Amino acid sequence: MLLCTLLSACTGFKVEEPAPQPAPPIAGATPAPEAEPEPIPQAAPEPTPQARPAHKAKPAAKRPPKPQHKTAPAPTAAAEPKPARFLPDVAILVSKDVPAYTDVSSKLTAELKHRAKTYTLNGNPATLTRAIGKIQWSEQVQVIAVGLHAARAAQRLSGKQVIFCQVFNYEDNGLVTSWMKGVSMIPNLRRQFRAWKALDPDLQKVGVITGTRKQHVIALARDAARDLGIEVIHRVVGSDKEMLYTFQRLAPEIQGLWLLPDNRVLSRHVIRSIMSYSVKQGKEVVVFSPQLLKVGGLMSVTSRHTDIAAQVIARLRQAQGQPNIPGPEVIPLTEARIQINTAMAKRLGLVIPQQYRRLAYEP
Amino acid sequence: MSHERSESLGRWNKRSSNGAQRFALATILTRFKAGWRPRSAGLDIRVVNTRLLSRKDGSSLVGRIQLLQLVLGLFVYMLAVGGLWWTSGRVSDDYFHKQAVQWLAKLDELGTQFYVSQDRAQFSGIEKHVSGFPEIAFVRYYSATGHGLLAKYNANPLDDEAIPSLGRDQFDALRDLSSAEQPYLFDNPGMSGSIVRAAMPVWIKSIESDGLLGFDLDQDQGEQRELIGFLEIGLDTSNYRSQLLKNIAVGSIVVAVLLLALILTGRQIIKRALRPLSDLQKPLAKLARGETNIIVENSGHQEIAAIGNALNTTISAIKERDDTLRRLADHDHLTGLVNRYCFTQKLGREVTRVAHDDRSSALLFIDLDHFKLVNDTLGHAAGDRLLVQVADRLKSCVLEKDTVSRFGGDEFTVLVPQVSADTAANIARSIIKILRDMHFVENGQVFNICCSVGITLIDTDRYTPDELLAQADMACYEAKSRGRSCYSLFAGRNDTDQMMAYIGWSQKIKQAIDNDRFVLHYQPIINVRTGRPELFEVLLRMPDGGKRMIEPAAFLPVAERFGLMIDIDRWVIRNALRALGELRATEGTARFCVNLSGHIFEDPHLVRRVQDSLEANGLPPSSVIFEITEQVAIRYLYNASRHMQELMDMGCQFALDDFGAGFSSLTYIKRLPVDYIKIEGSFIENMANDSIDQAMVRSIIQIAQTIGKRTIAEYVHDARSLEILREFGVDYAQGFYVGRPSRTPASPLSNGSSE
Repeated sequence: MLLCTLLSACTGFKVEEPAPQPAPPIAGATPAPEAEPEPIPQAAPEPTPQARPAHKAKPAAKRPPKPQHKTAPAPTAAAEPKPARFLPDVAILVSKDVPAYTDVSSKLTAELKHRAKTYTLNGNPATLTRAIGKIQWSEQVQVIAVGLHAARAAQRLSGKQVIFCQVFNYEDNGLVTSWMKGVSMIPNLRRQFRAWKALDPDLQKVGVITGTRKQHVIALARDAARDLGIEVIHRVVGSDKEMLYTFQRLAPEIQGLWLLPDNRVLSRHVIRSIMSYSVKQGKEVVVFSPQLLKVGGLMSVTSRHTDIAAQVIARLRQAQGQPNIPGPEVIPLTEARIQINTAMAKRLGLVIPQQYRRLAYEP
Repeated sequence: MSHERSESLGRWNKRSSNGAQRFALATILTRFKAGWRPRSAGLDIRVVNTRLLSRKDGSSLVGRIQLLQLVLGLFVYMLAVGGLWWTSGRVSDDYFHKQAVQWLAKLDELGTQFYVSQDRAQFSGIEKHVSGFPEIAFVRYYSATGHGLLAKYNANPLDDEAIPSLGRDQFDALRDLSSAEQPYLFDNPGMSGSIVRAAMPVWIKSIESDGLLGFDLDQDQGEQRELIGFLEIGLDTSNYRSQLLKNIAVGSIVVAVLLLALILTGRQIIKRALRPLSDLQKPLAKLARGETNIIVENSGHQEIAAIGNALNTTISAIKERDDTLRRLADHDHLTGLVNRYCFTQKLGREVTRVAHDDRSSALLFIDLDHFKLVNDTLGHAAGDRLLVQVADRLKSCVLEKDTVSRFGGDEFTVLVPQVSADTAANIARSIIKILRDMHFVENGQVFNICCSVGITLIDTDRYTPDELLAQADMACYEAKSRGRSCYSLFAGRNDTDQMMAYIGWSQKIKQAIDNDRFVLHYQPIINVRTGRPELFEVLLRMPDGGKRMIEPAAFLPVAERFGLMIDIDRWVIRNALRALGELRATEGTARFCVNLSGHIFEDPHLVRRVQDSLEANGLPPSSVIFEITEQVAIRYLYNASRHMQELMDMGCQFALDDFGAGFSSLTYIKRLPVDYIKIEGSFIENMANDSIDQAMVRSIIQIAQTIGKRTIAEYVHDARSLEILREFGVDYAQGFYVGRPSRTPASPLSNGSSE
């Protein structure tokens, strides 16, 4: 059944642009029409850091649909994982009851079925203590933490494998250990830059301003952008005030701003100011929320919850039966949900390519 | 008693009453000529004009309006300038605050790197930037604790100490502004107040962890704030304020010039608009001076034209009223002849003319004979009609240049200029003849009117008009005494002597009153049934200096002419009651009949005087019977009735004297409150031989009895008359047969000390 689902899911763009080692598909992961991943026929498939380069990926049609264990995901790691004889139960810690977390949790629960046990913390210390206690003394050896709060709670566990997701600043919180690793919160970088480049073929320099310790993500972004002829200029700031100040000074150098959801250096006032300034200065801004399109964002790029869930499960499977979680600290997402602000595109003199028009956002 | 009264008494009474009217008119005329106006529209206008034209401040209406306009203009100017100052101050404060806020935002942005690095070198860029703006007096960056001044900029380093740093309270206040929409503090430090200081906290914000998942831009919740310092700025507003001051000064001058122009324009407009009103000033001033030959020009303005029309109407009314008053003042309203005042004025002018002219003039004084008879028998209305006819006749027999006046009552005067004595005599004869030929018909009766004329020639200015009138009056009196219907020419010296004799008489009467030189005689009145003297009539006599006594007929006319009658009445009452008191001490039932003239009823204290005398002499009021003639009672009907009633209420009694002498007797007998009726003596005198008199006496007695009055018959000269009277039922009798007047009350028929 899982295989059928995987095949069904792969009949979309993934069939045309398969990842070399795609994450196992998740049941019910077919995207909603408005969130249809963009077809990028000419672009190379996006590899995960551990995946093969896109040009080396096998065509999906030629990939033999080998039947495997119905719950076993397709291997995404470099080494071919062997199917586990039995699958352990998984505890899902959810930071709070918001769609960004619960949607991911729901996808995970649907995939893990009876093996999943969900704990929603909602900021309640008593709930957190009880949940941690139960998980600690349960047979569950794998834990999924959705959100920073849940991830930080999971730090208290011992003898468990923890995969966190929906956490941006995992570096500041020391979340990465040998038994605790994560899935990136940032949508697929190549898809983002590819779409941006398709929208503005003249795009050469984009800026990105973050707080500290984001060099890894920036390096990945630079790699992804470089292939498209885009230079990513990065600035590190310490506050929202500095963010705005830095942006205003950076603005002359760049054509667009890649606005990352770094809560440490963003405030609503600064977001508004940046958007306002960008509009006035004619700067393209790629934002992390469709809501910012209405205040001047050119393109919003958000992650797919199914993508997150698939990557999480893939990591669980990789770690299954091993003392530590293998692989990088955080694995990237493979997909991106893109919306394009037609009004801003028009204002900036950009022509939305045919293949992206169905992703247009009308403010 | 009727024989003892002069006929001229009534004439002088009439003259006196008409004199009051003449005096009133003369007073009106005098006041009128002096500028007085009756209380009317004319008077009101005069008052208004006086106020309008003679205000103490001397300002005109136009001037007052202009003054008001000026004051109003000044007020508006002050208000405008004050409002300009206030508004400018408010606006400039608001402007400076906004400026400060903008600068704070700018400095907050510029200071971001400085706060991040805490590097003083970063501040130099800010210094360089703000130094290009002279309005920035200082900039200060503080640490988050507020204790440390991270960096500062002073446009004028010398002023560094002038503006103190923010205090602890201010830092605390700024910290508390975290939730405020406008997190700013403003004040004006320093002595000059030209520095506007603004301060704000410097915050950094961040969205809470994972807050960007499910991010909502419109919700401000879920942000974390961190205070990283404070920012202070001082704006030097002195240049701006001095410029503002200059602008306001210029604006004030412009407003003042505009207002001045407005006032000057308004002045011209008001003057032009009120010119028709100002034009009213002249005619109104003339009107105020008493001139009525003016016409107020009507302007084109509706309101002022209405005023002009109203003034013209009022002036016309005043003119008519003036004419009426002048006519009333100069003419007798009954006959239309000039009155005494006017005649006297003309006479004065004639005297003046005669002094410069050889030709003499004549003054004729005409007194109607028997006018009193017509007046008494036919009433005053008939008398008035007679006077009108006489006036018409007199006007018909003189020339245009002659002046005929009604001098008073039945007296007329004629001023005939430039005539000789003979001509004047001819005119007098002509007047006498015309009036003699006139037949006055009233109620089917025909009355022949005759007159007496006194003439005096005016050939010198030695005599005043009043003296000339007295001369003519004297001559008229002489003519009347010579048998009426004739004239007499004032004979100069001799008549002057006679006039002086009159004056001598009046002095004698005054002396007699003052020195108690009058003498009272008493004539008994008997009860016809018993023959006993129950009453005594008190008769007045004046010694002539020797043993002879002068009867009232000789001096009463003079007394009445000189207004001495009321004094004589008072003397008689006082002395008669004293004598009665002495008499009743011996003869306890004696009662006196005291004669009163009509003048005593004009004394408001008559009743009190009588009461005092009665009490002083221990007399009961019923012991006194006051006698009045029916003519007196009728002439002074109101006062007489009132006083009579009060005296009768007190207990005194009244007798109506000479009843039957006038035809109106029966009319008034019911209205007069009398107890006794004294039958006219002429009916009694020859009654024994005259059956008509007997019939009349019997009728009077029967009427008196019918209405409950007792009767007294006087002039009883013989026994036969007394017998007849007894038969007729008369109650009392008086006469020489009953008893002559004597110095002391004596028994009847005793003929004591008789006259």
